[in-house]
Amino acid sequence: MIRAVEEIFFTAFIGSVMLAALFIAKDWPVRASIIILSLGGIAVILTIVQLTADYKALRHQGAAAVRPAFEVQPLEHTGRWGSLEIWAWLWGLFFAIHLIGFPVALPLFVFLYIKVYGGSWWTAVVLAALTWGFLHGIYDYLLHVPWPKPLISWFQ
Amino acid sequence: MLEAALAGLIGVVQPEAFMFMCLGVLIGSLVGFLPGIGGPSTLAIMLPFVMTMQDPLLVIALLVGMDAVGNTASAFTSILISVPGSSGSQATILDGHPMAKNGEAARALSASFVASLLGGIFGALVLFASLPILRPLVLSFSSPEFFILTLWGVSMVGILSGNAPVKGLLAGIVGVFISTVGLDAKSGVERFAFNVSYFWEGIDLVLVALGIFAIPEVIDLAGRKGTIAKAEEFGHGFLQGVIDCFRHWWLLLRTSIIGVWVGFLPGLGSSVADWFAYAHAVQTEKNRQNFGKGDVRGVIASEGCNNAKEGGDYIPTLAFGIPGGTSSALVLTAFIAVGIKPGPDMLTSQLNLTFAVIWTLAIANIIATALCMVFARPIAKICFMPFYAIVPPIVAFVFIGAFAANFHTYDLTALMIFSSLGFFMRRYGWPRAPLVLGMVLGDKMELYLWLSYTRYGFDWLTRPAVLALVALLIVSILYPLLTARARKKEARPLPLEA
Amino acid sequence: MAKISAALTSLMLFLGFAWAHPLLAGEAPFYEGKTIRFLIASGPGGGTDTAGRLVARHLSKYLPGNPKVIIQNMGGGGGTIANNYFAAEVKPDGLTIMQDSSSSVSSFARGGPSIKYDPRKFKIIGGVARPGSMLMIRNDARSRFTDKGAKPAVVGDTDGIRNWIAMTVWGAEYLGWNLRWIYGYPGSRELQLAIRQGEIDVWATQNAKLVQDLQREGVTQVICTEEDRRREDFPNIPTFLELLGAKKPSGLSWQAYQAWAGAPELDKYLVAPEGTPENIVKMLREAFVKIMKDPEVDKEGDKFFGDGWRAIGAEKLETVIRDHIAIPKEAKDYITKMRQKYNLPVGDAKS
Repeated sequence: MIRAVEEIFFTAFIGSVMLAALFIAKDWPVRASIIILSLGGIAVILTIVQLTADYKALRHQGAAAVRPAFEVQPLEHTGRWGSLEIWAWLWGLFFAIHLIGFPVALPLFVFLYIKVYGGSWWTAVVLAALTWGFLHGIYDYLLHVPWPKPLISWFQ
Repeated sequence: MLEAALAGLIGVVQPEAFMFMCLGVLIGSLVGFLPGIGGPSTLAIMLPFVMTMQDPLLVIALLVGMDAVGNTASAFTSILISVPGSSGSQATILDGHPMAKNGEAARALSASFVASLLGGIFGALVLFASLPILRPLVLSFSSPEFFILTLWGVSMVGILSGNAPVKGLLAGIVGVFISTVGLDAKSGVERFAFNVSYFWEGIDLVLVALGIFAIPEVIDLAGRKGTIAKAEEFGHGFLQGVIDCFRHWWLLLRTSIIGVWVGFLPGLGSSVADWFAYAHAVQTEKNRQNFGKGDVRGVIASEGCNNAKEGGDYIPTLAFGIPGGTSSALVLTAFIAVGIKPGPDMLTSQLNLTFAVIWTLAIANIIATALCMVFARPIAKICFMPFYAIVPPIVAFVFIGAFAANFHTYDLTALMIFSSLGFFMRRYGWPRAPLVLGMVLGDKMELYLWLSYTRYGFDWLTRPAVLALVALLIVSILYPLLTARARKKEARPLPLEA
Repeated sequence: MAKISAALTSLMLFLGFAWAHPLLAGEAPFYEGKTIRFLIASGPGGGTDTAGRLVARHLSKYLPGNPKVIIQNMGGGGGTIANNYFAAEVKPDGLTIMQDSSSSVSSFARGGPSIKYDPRKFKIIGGVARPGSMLMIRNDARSRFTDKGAKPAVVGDTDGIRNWIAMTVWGAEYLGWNLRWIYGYPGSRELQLAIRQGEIDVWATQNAKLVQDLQREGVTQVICTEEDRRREDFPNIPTFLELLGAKKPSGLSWQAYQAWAGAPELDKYLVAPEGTPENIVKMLREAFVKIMKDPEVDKEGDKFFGDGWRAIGAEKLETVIRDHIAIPKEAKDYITKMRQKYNLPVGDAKS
């Protein structure tokens, strides 16, 4: 039931992005905007069609959404928080990279994740070391990737 | 001709050249493996080293060897962890990864390597066969013809949407919109750039692919707290994959042809090839309900095509010095530095060098496949490792790859945004392949329509090549519909037996 | 007592020696044991990258101290991203330099909120200028070139803003060239194909080898070159100035032409950050001059740029950049007017 409501919201979100794009593009010269306006117009119509389909699914108490071809249905997650848990980790990593820089954040992330979910000390240290080695060996030494300056730089 | 062919062959199997070829294969495979680092960056790094080499044969062995096999090793990451290692292996994910989840990783891997090998050799063969007609072939495709080809690509969106056509079409349109971000050459307008110079050159396909395909799988794995493979490994998977390739040789041949075509047309871009091949397989094969759930044919189609296109890529490069993409542009630079002059000379006084390229394409593929086969089984074991040992390295891999593509910190933000999009699309049953296809094709479609119109007015609609392509397009759309109806008729019981 | 005095003497000797040592040995070269980060304001491949790598390959040899040189590409925004980064984040310690190109000066001159650098503030080390563009026309379109009654010859370009387009526009205006323009091609690769196919009739490129090939194969002929003197490798081709002859306009029209066509010396050049100490800039400039005098560099450059490319000194470049940016508004308006007249895009990167 909740899933069906979420689906409506997502469809509506896509639709509003289309509308926003149309709105921005209308001021451009024709040759730049024609593709946005034509496809965007079609998109708005399609969104309405899809919204009605979603609404009907909702009315029929969330009859199982037809699984589209080439898409595997995601399994239900274990644990109370569902996918929020892994998202927290991902955002955590994202901010860590900005705060303390790639070379520190990545091995740290690897180490912490393994420990938190029950891996052994050995696994955690080895994989963190491998990550660090990979970072420095290939991307730093060989390819000279310029890591961005983090906000807190005494780790450099 | 024959002596040039022989000279070329002898040239590249000399011990020194062969060694360079092996080195090139090693580097190329590693590069294919790593997301975000593509041919261009590595070739740029190799360039100074290559400049000091005097012998053109060695340069060919090294660079062509590197270039030819990037797509072979990238299947590892596509199949095992749903991370597209290179733009050529995106479509491989659609069936390759489900196969890994079903415990059939070894089968998927060996099928992909053999398909890559056969496809690559086929590409070299086609290059050889087309030598006499190289130039007229390249010259017969201009903007109107390219436009029709992009329309063919658009029809693929429909196929890849499966039974959710509305969502698929919407996803495709979103993809097209994403491709319009950036400076529009024909009008000077910065579309959707919001005064941020990061957007001027558009949004990188690598980021979108990583976000849309890789991260949602990681989220899934992390949420399940299990292993990649949900089933026991099938004992003879490895050999089975090899047998599969030979069993489906006709499919492999067709997709290799598609690969060579897309490679040779400098207008389409190499990211399109495997989608075309995959969609074609879905369109034309029987029993297509298994596609997307772990059908080995999906892997064969995609992988066979992406090595063949490397051969096709060299056709305009050798014929005119017009490179097919950034990697061939760099290879071309190296060639010029060493004294290889692309152009009519390649077919006359330097024919032996042309053959060296062809032979290298074939032999490098063999070496790469052998290398990958050796490592396939051990590497496939990661499907049975616990999630906490897999998730962090993959995430690290993806984040580095996203940043290393262009060295912009904003890329990480873009990655998070596309990851969210991919996650929700998967959650609510929106097909993701059409989005990527829309992105790849969108601006090309717009560009070629615009050029055709400003150059020819409406006359271009009556060009013979255009009409021929339109006819082919209509056939390719109608054929599956007609065969489906024919099959339904056959299935209906005869009245006498009711 | 003797022991103490011996100790004190040794201490003094030691201190004296320690203090005098650097003076005795002479200053170690600044760059010894250091690494230079060589940024390139474009992706790999292409003119800026090639020019940068040409210099980078030989830099260590000619810099006293022979530092290690690491190359990093930083493409995006036509050079804007690298330039913004260079202006905001790079320390003026002589350890980071950047290979830049004329497009960053043009972008700065056009202006816009995404430009966060000022090329006049960078310290110029030196530059290379590839020979000017050569304008070509397909042989089968030659007859229509000056015949206003026939179908116009089609000029093809990427964005219609290239420097050489000025030649075609002023040619149409003052020499009666019968042209129309189409643009939007992604790059020179597609334009090459298009001119071979006949999709476009007129194009210009700096790539001498390409021009020679096309000429040899009977596809095109060269009309003129962009510069103010004839090219050594094409001595029979007149310059645009020669073609204009008496019809050359003066005053605002010519000023506008020069603003659009740009200075031939401004092509690919090397910069150090604002505030880099003068002695370091001097070292870099001297090294650059030495690199350019190296016969091997000359040979390598010829392979990529064709004969006739040349090194440009730092002072000259500084003047040229300053002049280019100081274009009066009336000239810019004149350019816009001409572009509108001939249906070329006017929507510059201004948003």
